[in-house]
This record gives sequence, structure tokens and C-alpha cells, in this order.
Amino acid sequence: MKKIISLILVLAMVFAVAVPSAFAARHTKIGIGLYSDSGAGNDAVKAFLKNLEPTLDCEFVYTVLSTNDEALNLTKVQELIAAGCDGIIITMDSSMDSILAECRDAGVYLGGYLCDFDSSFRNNYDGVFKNENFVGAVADGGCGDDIKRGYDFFDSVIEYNERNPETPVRHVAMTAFPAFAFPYQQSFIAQFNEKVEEYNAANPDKAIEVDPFNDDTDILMFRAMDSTYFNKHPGIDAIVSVCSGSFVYPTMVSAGVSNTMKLFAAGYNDGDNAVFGSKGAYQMEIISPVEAIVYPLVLLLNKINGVAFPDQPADAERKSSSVLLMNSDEDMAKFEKSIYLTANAADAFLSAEEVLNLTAYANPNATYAGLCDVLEHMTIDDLK
Amino acid sequence: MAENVKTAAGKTDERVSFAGFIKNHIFDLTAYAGLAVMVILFLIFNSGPRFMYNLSSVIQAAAVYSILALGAVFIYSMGFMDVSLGQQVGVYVILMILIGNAIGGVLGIVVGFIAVLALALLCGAINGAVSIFLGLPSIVTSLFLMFFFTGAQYLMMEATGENTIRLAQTIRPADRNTYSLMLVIIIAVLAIIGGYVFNYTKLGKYTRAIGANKTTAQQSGISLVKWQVFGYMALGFCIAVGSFVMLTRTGTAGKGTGTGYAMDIMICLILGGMPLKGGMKSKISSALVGAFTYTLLSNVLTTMGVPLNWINFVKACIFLLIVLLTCRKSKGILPR
Amino acid sequence: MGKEPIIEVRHMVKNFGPTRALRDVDVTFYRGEIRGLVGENGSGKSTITSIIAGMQKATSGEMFYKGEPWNPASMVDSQLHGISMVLQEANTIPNCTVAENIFAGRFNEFAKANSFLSMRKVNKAAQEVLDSFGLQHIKATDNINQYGFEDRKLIEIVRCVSDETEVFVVDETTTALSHEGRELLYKLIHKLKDNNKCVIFISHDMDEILEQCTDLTVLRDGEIKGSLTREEMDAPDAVKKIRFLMVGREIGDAYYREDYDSSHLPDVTLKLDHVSFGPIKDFSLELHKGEIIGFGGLSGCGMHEIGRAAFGLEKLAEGKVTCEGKEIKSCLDAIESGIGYISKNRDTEALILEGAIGENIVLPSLNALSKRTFISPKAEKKLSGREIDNFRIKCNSGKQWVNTLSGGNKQKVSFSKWTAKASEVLIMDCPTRGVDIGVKQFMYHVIDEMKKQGKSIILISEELAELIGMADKIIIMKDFQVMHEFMRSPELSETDIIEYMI
Repeated sequence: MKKIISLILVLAMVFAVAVPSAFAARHTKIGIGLYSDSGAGNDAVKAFLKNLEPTLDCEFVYTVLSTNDEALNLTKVQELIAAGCDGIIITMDSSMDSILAECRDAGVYLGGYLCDFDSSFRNNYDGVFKNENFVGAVADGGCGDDIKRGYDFFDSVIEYNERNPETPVRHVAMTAFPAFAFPYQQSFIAQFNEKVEEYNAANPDKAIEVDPFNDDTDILMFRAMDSTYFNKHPGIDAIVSVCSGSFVYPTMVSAGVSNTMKLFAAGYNDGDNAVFGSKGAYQMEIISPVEAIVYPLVLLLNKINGVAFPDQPADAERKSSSVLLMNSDEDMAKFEKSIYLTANAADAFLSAEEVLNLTAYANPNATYAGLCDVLEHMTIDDLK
Repeated sequence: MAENVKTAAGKTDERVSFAGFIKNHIFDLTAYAGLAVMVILFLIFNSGPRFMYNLSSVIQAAAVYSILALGAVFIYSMGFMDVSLGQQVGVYVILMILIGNAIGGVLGIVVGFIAVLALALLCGAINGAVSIFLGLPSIVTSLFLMFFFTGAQYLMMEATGENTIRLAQTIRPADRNTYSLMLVIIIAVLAIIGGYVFNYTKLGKYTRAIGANKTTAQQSGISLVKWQVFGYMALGFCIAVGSFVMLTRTGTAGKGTGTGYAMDIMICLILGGMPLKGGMKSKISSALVGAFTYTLLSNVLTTMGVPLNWINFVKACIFLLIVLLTCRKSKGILPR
Repeated sequence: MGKEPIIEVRHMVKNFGPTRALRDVDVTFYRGEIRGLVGENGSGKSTITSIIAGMQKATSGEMFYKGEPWNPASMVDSQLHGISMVLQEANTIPNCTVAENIFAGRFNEFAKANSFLSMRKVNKAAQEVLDSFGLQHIKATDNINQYGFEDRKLIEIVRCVSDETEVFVVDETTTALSHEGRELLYKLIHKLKDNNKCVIFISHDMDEILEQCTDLTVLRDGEIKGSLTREEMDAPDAVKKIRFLMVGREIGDAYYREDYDSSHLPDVTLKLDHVSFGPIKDFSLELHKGEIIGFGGLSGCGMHEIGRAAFGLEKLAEGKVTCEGKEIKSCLDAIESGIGYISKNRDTEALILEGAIGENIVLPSLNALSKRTFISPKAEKKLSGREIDNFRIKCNSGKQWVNTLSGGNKQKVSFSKWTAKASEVLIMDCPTRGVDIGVKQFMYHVIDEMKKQGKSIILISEELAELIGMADKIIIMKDFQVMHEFMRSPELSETDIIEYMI
């Protein structure tokens, strides 16, 4: 008897949690497949989308995708379709053939966010980018040949040296993810070295030494950097990490160098602002604006409403978005007031009405070029 | 209450009433309760034009779990588990893609499957035999295989230079309903074969006896080595078939394909009422009951709109509840 | 009676589901007595004592201890109040030391509040207690795993009894003890009696009961059927009277075999040819069709190992075991050659307790029942049903679990595994251990019938009366060597045999 009552109580709890959202019926339902279920970025994108719901007459539901299990991702998409989604935005280039087949069968449209769909772009372009159910994707920053991230790293190092003439960075080493997973990171390294060579030629008295890239220690296999890195690169002033700093910083802390050595890294992780700029090791961080999700969102809404931009390209595209690049205390101060850290929709680049105006069904004058232009103007300087 | 009727030999012949039947099978019946609740919730929250779509999604998601769980029952009934299960699936899917793409056509798929089947049966034999010969707990051998296959999966993907590889040809029927029917047939055939083998052949009876009491089994003429090997090979067969079904579903594979499946299968079996220590109370039905309960649980929570942050918590509560409902208390033993 | 009551039980009822283990029992136990409690398995004797000792609660009824209402929370609670019980089954904690076992549940006696436990004190106290019992060979700091069943049983006894013990319950413990162990226990219970304590002694060994007890109470089917005083126990027809009260019918004088014909067929079925393994050196034996060879000796004499070797359970260093010419290297070989083995460790080796009666019975026969992979449930049920009927196993059906059966019925299941298999050679190791007299009589009858059918039997037993009563030839072992052989004879007595054992 006790067990039966416990079962009833659990079911009641589940109903209490689920039913209110089930009854919040709106015209359109969009499913979002994120790659994690927590963190400031998650909270920010959810806050941004929540604010759009009344204006767009939309409901957003969420799920978490797997970084390595294609079958699970397919199941998650199927569950979103089962939940009644009219459109789905995913953050993984995974099982695209089968996922798009599901979307075709269900009459649902698919977009991409925080992913450049590089594997599909190179190996399955027709199957994905020519697919009627795929509307396009916005990358996590730049994609394709757009990316000149290496130059950004270089600029940040130079800016740092100008601000800190007594303690400039003269000797650096680099880290990156493996090429098979992130092929563009090797080009970032080449870009950085290219710029350093030019700089050294013009400024021999301020030359910057870059340690040769060592495959054994400098490639991070999606886990924390090994402390042997410092043995391989003795005497460095800074690490330029073209991959996420979260794989580098903890090792710097445990090696006791986080107070002296500097870190120029991609990505932003919760709490990094406390050790940024004058407060700590981090001197550069980059994050994509959460508002970039408007690109696939608007295209989905257009499709669902049966309209298209007059200048819509025939094939789906993958677009770069501008990034929030912080390399000073002032930049960080601005970033701290952005929706990314406040999770307050009022701090977003775009209001709900502005997003609605980007759509073709609400604004007959809206264009694809206009939508793409919005993506270009989400930098740190554009923050109010 | 049961009526006791004395036979001529002085043995009581119990004619059991309906209430007595319920009482005697309360633990078995509650093992189905979880599935029943999930089915009811599924029907409630999936009514509408997408019902058939949703049903076919559930069948697709449950298919691989069902097939793997059917094989795992033989191992779990001996009180063992195989932690290399997921990694084997990953490697086998990758192998089938590589062989399928290299040879091409139907032949490529067939050769790929046969190669994977042979490898799976071999790994089953190793898993079953090595632990006995070396006197190790079986989990140690399967851990070794897990690490081996993790490394193999990684190296194979590195060699391709890609994050994900895909099968060049489509092996799944274009029509969704046809595909669902194909999966149902595969599950049904394997369930019938599994049910026959588990309930009516030596393999099933001996694996349960080994799980119940290894010493008694041995002293009753059961060769531990032989039947342990056969049990693991039965699982190997199901892993091969399950990998093929997964390939038909996704058409792709990567470094992490199959990760976590060993735990998923254990959860499926627990939800299906399988006693983790194995023994005579093991039931082949726990495979299908558990696989579908597990799949429906995830599906229903999403379709009900349970917030993302709550899903894992709710899953944990429901899992705990079903375990409490299906755990078997040993009956009171009369003192002599 | 003139003696002071110490425990009074009034209108005690205990039900296990539909089974009524005790039906409105009234009994009083007195100081200064050794009260024997006898009855068949399932009679309720262990149920009463387990309720008194706090192991379980009664369904209804009252108890009084030293005049006050008595309702113990647990066995530890009982022991702290002076009532202790030692059981037949193993009740020590494996992988712990002897000292930890002795003082389990009582460690706070050695630690001040909120301070560390002094294991040194625990060990010292434990060794003192062991020494006071004459058990100097057991070391308090040793891991209990290294001690055999008997020593562990003695450690349990040490754990139970202290100066504060008022009532000591011995529940069929002596079956686990050797001669020396039993003597030690008898000394203890008499000492307790002389110190005006109460001992409740449960045993199936009639001789032991009549020798050691001062009073006797007989139970059957959850009710007290009669009591005997010391004088009545000394009467010549005491055993017959007791058996009648226990079984509810005349058991008759036929208990063991009545014939003294030790002849057998000339065919050798089982042969051990100069086998050596472990401490056993150069042992040989020939067992013939229709012959019962008995093995006797103290525990640890090597007779159990001979039985295991004959069944292929021991790896031989030298020599070989053959059955009708075929070499036996494993128990698989043994079973295929028609040898059956009833292990003395019934619950851990012979039976799957958490399994159905029918499943246990047919287990060795599944290979034979399998027809092109298919094992017919009908054939299984028919085979197990036949054995259940033949052995009159008291159960609801073949689907009932073995762990719900009494000890005697479990033993019947053990037997029936091999009669179902139609084994021609049976190795029985302590086949009537822990079994009541009604079932024992039945087993002896079965063994006798098997001999008449031409089956070959090795009967390993620690009960001399059983060997004398049943075997054609008795081989006595000591220290892993054969000391003497006795042929079946009406003049053969236990005193003839014992000198070769000790």
C-alpha cells in the first residue's frame, strides 16, 4: 500500500511540473537542442528566447544533445517532434541524414546554432544544405574562410603589450584542439605566426618569440592540459589558446603560474571574469553572442509561416556571426552587463519587436541581407 | 484464499483463487506496472495527428535497447554484467560503415555484418572463458574489453580523419512505416528466439542455475566454462544485430557511438524487474518491458514538457520508485 | 515442581501467512533445569525459542521473564537481559576477527562515550573468555574465516554465554560439533543448570536428549503434546513414548535395516585406485553393485574428502577414479557415468534455495530431457511430480521455493535429484543431518530399497548408529588414513568403533 501511494505522489509531482507548460498553448513550438543543460550561456539564451515568446507567439522547449552519441541525438530530435515542435534548432552536426528524414516525415524544419556543420558541408552538402527541411546554420563565431581568429589573438597580444609596457609578453606558446575535430584551429595558428613574423620584421626591438607547435603537448584531447606543457615551453610569458581556456587555466593554477603567466583564450566560462584583465591571468576571451540564434530562428519561422525572403538564396547557408571579444577590463565590464551574464532580456542586442521585424511574415520589407547584417553587429562595441 | 485439497499421497494440492494469484505474483505484476503507467501517459500526451509518428519514434529508439537487453538477460541471469557492451557497439558500427563503404552495395553491408558478427561472438567467448581460466571476476575481463574497444574506436576514427563517418548508401526503407514494421519484426523474432532459448533450452536453464548457485550448478553436471561462454556469445550475437539496427537508424558513427549503453541496458533490465544477482527469478520478458519503459520514460517526459532542469531529477525519482516496487523481498522462511 | 519459573509463555500464537507455526501454546521454563524440546521439523520448537530470544515477534500471546512482561526488541536486547541463543546454521560474521565476532553489538562496553574504541581491550577480553571455555587453540585476533564450522560454532557459544546469562537456548547446535565440542557444550549446560540457570536444549538426537536433559517437552504441529520428567525419561519405553508424541503414530521398531546380509553383486561400479590428493595418500576402494560402504570418523578425518574425490570434485595428484571403467576427472564425468552426490552442505552446495522444488529436482536430468534443444515443461513436471510423490515431499506444488521447506523436506529434494536422474551410484555425505526422526526413518527405507535395486552407495556419516544400522562395510578414518574396516554384524557396537576414531 505504501508503495502504491508513493507511486501516486510521484505521478502527481510529475503532472504538477508538466501540466502547466502543457497548457501554455501557443501558435508555434520551436525545439532547441543544446549541448549542455547548465551554464551562463544556457541561461542567457533561454532568457532571450523566453522574452520573444509573447511577441512571436511562440513556445520554446529544450533538450540536451550528446556530443558523441548519434543515435541519442536522433532520439532527442524525435522526442522534440513528438512534443509537437514545428521547428527545431540543434547545436550538433550529427546524424543529419536521419534527422532530416525525420523532419521530412513530420513536416518539421531544422536549423543550426553554435555549429558550422563543417562535416556535412564538406561531405554531404547536397544531403544537408540542399535539403528542403534545412534552413541554415549560424556558427559559433566564424566558419569557413571567414575565420581570421589568429589575427584577433595577435591583436590582443599587441594591445596587451601597449597597455603593459613594463611587463610585455615577448615569449608565447600555443594550444589547440585536434585537427580532425576543429580543422580551422590549425589555420588560426598559422595566421597568428604570420602576423608575428610581420610584426617582428617591422619591430625587431619588440620581437615576440613563438615556440614551435609541439603535437605531443600542445594538442588538447578535450581534457585538461598536462603540466608537462610547461617543461616543453620553459620561460614563456603567455599561452595563446585557440581552443577553450577552460582546458588550460586549471593546469596553470595547479602549476602555480596563474599569477605570473597570461592566457589569451577562446571561449568564456562561468567565473572567468573574476580572473580577467587586471584581476588575473585571462587577457583575452571570445564568445559568440546568444542572440545569434535569431538567424536560424527567423528562417524557421518564415518557413513555418510559408513565406521566404525575396533575396533568400536557393541553398541553405552557414553563416558566421560576429563575436564578443574581450581583451581589456573595459571590454569585460561591458560584457558583464550583457545578457550573457545578466540573463536579462533587456540587456540583449535585440528586443522582441526587433526580432519580429526581421521575419518576412511580420515585416514584408524584411530581407535575408538584413538578417545577415544583424549577425555582423553583435560585437563588444555594439553593446549598449 | 487458496483451498488446500489433500491428495492420496498426502500432498496438498492448492487450487489458487484470483486473489491468491495476485498475491503470489505481486512482484511480477508490479514489474509491468511501470510500463503500464508509461504507456498510459504516452497515450494521453501523444494523441493527435502525430501519434503514429511518435509511436514509430518510440519503436526506433527502443529497438536497439530491446535487442541488446535480450542478449544481456543471459549474462545478468548468471549474476554478471558486461561493461564493454557500448564500446563494442561503437566499434561494430564503425566497422560496418568502413567495410560497407569500401566494398559498396548490398555485398558490402552483408560482409560488414558477417565480420562484425564473427568478432562479436569471439569477444563473447573471450569474455566468458577468460574470467574462469584466470579466476577473475567477469567484470574484470569485460573492463579489459571495454578499454580495448574504446582505444580501437578512437584509433579507427582518428585514421578516418573525421569526427563522424557515414554509410554512403541508405540501408533503411524510405517509408517510415515500413521501417517501423521491419524493426518490430526484428524485435519480435529475436524475442521469440530469446524466449524459447531462455525458457526451454539448456542455455537458459543453466545460466539461471549458475546465477542462483554456481556450486550447486556445477555439482549438478553443469559445465561453468561452457555455459558461461555460450551465454556471453548469445549476448555477442545480440550486440552484432543491435549494432546493425543502430546503423540502419543513424547511418553514421563517431568516437562516442555506443557510449554509456552498458549502463542504459542495466537500467532497462532493472526497470524490467530483472534481479541484478540473477538466478532462477530471471525473466527474459524484463528485456522488452524494461527497454520500452526506459524509452517511453524519456519520450513522455519530453512530450509532457517537463522542464529540462527537472528531467534528470524526475527520471531518478521514477527509477527509484520502480526499483522499490519491483525489488524482491525474500519471503519469510519458516524456522525448522 | 518446587523450582522457580523463569520464563512463562501464555497463549502464544505465531502465523507465517496461512501457516500456523504455533497454536495457543502455554509453557513454563524453570531455573535449574535442562529442558529438552523435541519435535519433528515444523513442530514449532524453534519458533518458540526464537520468539523468546528476540529473533522474531509472536502474532499474539504473552511472555513473562522473571515475573515481568517480556517483549525483547532484538537478539542483542535479549542477550543483554540474559537470554541467549545459538542456532544450527552459521551465525558468525565472515571476514571479521574472532574478537569482533564475540563482542559484535557490544563495542560500547570498550569505548567511553565519544572516544575511540580500544581493539586491544576487545582482543584481550575475547581471549580471556575463550580461555575460560577451554578454547585456547582459538586466537581472538585471528580472522574467523580461517576456522572451520565447528570452531565457529564454539565461538558463537562463547559469544552467547556470560556470567549474566540466565537462559541459554541451544537449537540443534550439536550436529555441527565433534565429540570434543559436544562434551564442552554438555559441560557448559550442566554448569549453567547447577548455577540455577535455565537451559533449553533442542536436538533430534534422542540419545543426547535422554542423557543430558532433566525434563522434556514434546511438540507437534505447533502444539505441546506432552512432557516427560527425568523419571519418565529413564523408563525403558521412553523413546517409544517420545516418538509417538512427536509423530502422532506408532513409528514401529523398524528404523534402520533389519537384515545383516552384507552380500552384494560382484560387479565393481566405482573404483578409487591409489588416489592421492591433499592430505589423502594412496587411498583405494572398490564399491560393488548393491553394496553400501559407510565411512565414519571425527570431523576432519578425511572421509568427506573421499566422497568429493569419488565425485570428481578433487584434483588428484596421483591415481584415478573410475566408474565402470570410465575415468572420472570432473563431476560432469561423474554424473554422465551415473554417479550422484548428496553434499553435506545442503543449503550451499546441494540445493538452489531460491529456486523451485521442481527446478532443483530436474537440474541434473536436463541434459537427458533435452530433445533437439527443446526441454518439454511437461516432461519436467512429470519427472519432478513423480519424485515429489515418491518422496512425499510436503509442499504445495513443484513451483514452491526450496527455502520455504523444512530441513527434512529439503533433504528429500536433495535425494530426489539423483533418483530422478536414475543414478546407479550414490555418494551421500551426512544425508540425515538436521532431519527429524520421521524423515530419517523414511530415508533409511529409501537407502535400503536402493541397495535391493542393485544401486551402489557410499554413506558418509558422523553418526555411528546410522553407519552400524545401514552399512554393509564401515571404513573408519582418522587423520586422513584408514584405521579399520568393520563388516556388518549384529554384534557390532559403537564402543567397538570409537577407539579407532579417537
